[in-house]
Amino acid sequence: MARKPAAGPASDPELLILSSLASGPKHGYAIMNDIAAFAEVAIGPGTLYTAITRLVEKKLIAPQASVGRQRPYRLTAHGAATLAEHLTSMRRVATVGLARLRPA
Amino acid sequence: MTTTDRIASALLRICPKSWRQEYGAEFEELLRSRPLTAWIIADVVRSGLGERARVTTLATRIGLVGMVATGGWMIWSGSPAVLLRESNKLLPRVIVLPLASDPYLLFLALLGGVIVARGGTPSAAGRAAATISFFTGLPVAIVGFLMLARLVPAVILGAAYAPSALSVLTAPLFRLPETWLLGSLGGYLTAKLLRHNGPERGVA
Repeated sequence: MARKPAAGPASDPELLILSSLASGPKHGYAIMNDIAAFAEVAIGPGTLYTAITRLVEKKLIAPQASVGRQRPYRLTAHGAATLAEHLTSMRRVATVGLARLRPA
Repeated sequence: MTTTDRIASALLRICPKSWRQEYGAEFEELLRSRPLTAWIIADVVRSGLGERARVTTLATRIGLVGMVATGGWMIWSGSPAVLLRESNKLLPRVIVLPLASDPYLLFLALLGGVIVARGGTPSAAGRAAATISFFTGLPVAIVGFLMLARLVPAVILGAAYAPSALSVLTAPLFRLPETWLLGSLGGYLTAKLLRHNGPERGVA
C-alpha cells in the first residue's frame, strides 16, 4: 500500500522521479504509479509536477513530444550522472549504517 | 462537465499562468484521471501557491510585507488616521505618512542601488520601488474606496480630521511617481558608481 512521502533522502520526489525515469521515458501518471510500486511512496500530483518543473529547469530530465494531453519525460545524460552520484552516495551511507547496526 | 473536471479546472487556476501554459494540459489530465481526495486537493493547493510565490518578484514580496504592515498598523491603532496627515498642497490633499517617511524613501533608493548592482537597470529599480509603494499604500486606498462606497464612515478618521473619500483613495497613488523616481535615482547613481569604479578594479 502506498503511503505519503516520509522524511528522508529515499522519499525525495526529485530522486524518486529520476529513479523512475531510469527505466525509460514516462508521463506524469505513469511516474506516479511507478513510484508507488517500487518505493511504496504516494506522491501527490502537485508535488510531482513541482519536482518535474525543477528537474526540467536543472536539465536533469527533458520533455518529449506530447501524446494527446500527456507528455512523457526522459532522463538526460546529466540526469543519469546525477542520479548515479546520489544513489552511490546513499549506498555508501546505507552500507556503513547497516554494518554498524549489526551486532558484533 | 463532471464535478471532478470542475474541481480540476479550479485547482489548475491556482497555479501561475506561465506554469499553466507549460504544464497545464498534462497536469489537468492527471488530475482528472483519479478521484480528487482531500489529500490530493491540499497537495495541489500547496504546490500551486508555492509556484505562485516562486514567480513573484522580490519587489512584490516586499510590497506585500509593507501592505500587511500598513494594514496591521491601521487595525492595531483602530483608525487609519494614524497613517494620514493633511497636506498643505493643492494635490494631494492627504499624505500617507509611511510612504513619505525619510527611512522609507531612503530604503527605496538603496533598494534601487541593490537592484542595479545585481544586474538590473535603473528603470527596473524605479518599477520595483513603485510596486512596493503600490502594495504598501493599498490598505489606505481600500479605506478610501470603502468610504466612497459609504461602507465605512468618514468619522473613523477622527472628529478633528475628515478628508474626503476621494482624497484618501488617491493619496497612495500620488506617492508612486516620487517613489519610482527615487528607486530609479538610486539605481542610476549605483550604475554610475559601478562604471566609475569598474576600470580601477580591473587594473588592480
